Amino acid sequence: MIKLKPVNTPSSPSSTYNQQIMRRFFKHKLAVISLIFLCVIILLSVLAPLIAPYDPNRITGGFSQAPSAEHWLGTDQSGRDVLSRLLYGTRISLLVGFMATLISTVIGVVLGLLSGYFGGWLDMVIMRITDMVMSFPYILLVLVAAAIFEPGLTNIILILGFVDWPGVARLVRGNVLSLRETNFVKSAEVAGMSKWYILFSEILPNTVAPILVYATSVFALSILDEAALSYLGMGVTLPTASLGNMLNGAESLTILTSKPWLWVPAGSLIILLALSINFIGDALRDAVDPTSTK
Amino acid sequence: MEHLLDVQNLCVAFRGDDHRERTVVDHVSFQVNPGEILCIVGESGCGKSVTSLAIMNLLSRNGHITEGTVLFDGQDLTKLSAKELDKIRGSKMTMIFQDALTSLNPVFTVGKQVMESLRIHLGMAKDESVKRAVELLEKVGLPDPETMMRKYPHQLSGGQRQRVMIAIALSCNPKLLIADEPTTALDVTIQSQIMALTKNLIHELNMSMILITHDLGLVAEMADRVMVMYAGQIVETADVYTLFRSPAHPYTRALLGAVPSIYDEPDRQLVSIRGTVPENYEFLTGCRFADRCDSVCDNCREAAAGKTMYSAGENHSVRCILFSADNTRPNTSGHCTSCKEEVTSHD
Repeated sequence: MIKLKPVNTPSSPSSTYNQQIMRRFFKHKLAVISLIFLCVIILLSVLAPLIAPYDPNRITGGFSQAPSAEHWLGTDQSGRDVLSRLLYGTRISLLVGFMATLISTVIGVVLGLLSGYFGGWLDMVIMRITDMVMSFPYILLVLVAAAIFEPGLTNIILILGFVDWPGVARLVRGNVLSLRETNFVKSAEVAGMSKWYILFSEILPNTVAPILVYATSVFALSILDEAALSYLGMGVTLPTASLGNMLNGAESLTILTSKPWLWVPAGSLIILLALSINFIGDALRDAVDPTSTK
Repeated sequence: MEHLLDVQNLCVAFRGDDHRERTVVDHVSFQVNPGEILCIVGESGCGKSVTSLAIMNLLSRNGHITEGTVLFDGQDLTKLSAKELDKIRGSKMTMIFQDALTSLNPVFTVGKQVMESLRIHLGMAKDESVKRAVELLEKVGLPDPETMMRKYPHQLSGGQRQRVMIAIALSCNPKLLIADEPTTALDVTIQSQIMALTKNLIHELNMSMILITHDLGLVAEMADRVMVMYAGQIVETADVYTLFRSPAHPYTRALLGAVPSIYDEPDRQLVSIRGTVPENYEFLTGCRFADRCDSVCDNCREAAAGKTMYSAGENHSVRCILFSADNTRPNTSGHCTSCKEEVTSHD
């Protein structure tokens, strides 16, 4: 378990805790490269309307044309520009990943805090629900939920958000259980601070680091899940582009073998995104680990 | 005189895994007067800390007060709601803990933590609380308080952290400070500095203090009155001079005998008390110290023994039948005259 108590860290008197974290983070070359890559991708996708050469949903060329000067990454089966769709698709995928992570983290953090701090029957109920959600086969649960609610951007965000929270809840609960017994929480009680104030203003800041680390992996997973669902036609629906449904075409063997421009860009972007987010998460884990002396 | 804190018949029980209640503080009654420093001494596991936690209403989930009242400034703390209690804690009574190293929140600066309580209880504005926090840090003897405000707890030494804790404790001018072994984590030189500082501030601000410790040297230095606890009961209370000059209870005598003194003969053997503090003491009959006592006799094991406090002088009471009115045996040696039996030495 990651604790925020900074011990054994070589610290010059002027370096704050945040500076130490930064310094340790930037020692990871791979993570720094990943961070730059992620920033560039985010920038490109946010600026998609400005830089995309074509409207992503308009037919602008022949079907499945190979890359050319007009269409840098070729066109898809319906004659739409692949590069434009890739830019807009990344936008959608990042949005799904971010929103799903946000929703699941908020749910998980709140439930974990309540369950860890108040304990008793509340803890029992919350933890049993957590166990229940966790014991369902994940992809099946998501698929069934996607089948019940209509596939679509909002629904896929909500589904992923409401399925991913148990891990966060458990992590936070565990941290709160140990933080609850610390002297500074007792001191805060003695100082006459209310339970809610202590929970959200004293305990929560001490668990932010592990939550952040965990959230990065949820972010990467959500992007992959969105891709999987969209690939299966249960996620983001056409004509809206997402990295997942751009891979649809790869279902057919001829495309897979002879028309790589239809699936290689989207496929490799998914891999790179997931990879870089995971690298960043790893570096964060090291950076906030108090026992690390690197 | 009106007592600041009046604890009457306080009983605290904990529920174990087997759902049985175990009383660990048994009918404890004592008073603290304004401006007084009361020391509670005793071995580990005697209920000193639990008593103080019960007063502050900080008992863990499985512990609760089963009986008794805690009157603080005329209010019964055991009957207050959490909200009313939060108003008193921190502003009128406060507590500092044993381990100063973990008493500060590691993710906030010292300044923020000192200001927190000022803002909550006194409703101070930001710049006003900054000023007051700097004053407080200066008052507890921290060098360069402005820089100190921006530091994180891990950048401070143990003594500095305990000073910050004292600053936080004193921030709202409380009337009562409970200090639960405040210097055990610190080395002796820092300990004497911190205790001298505390004593000065207590007198300066006209506060009362309950000091929990097992360091008798500290007691001699700090206390006005001393309360000795053993196995969840008070066994002796006296003012500090009386207690050190003429300790009455065999337990107190043994505790004092266990302390080395600089005036000791080089070959003096320090006293050690046989055995350990008993557990499940609600099942013991008679005096709870009987098994470890050098002056024990048959009467000590009868049900009536250890039930009442006897007077051993002015403002000096002791829970030992040697001091009961009908006791005929001398109360300083190991011979019992009432049951005509010589107590055999155990070593």
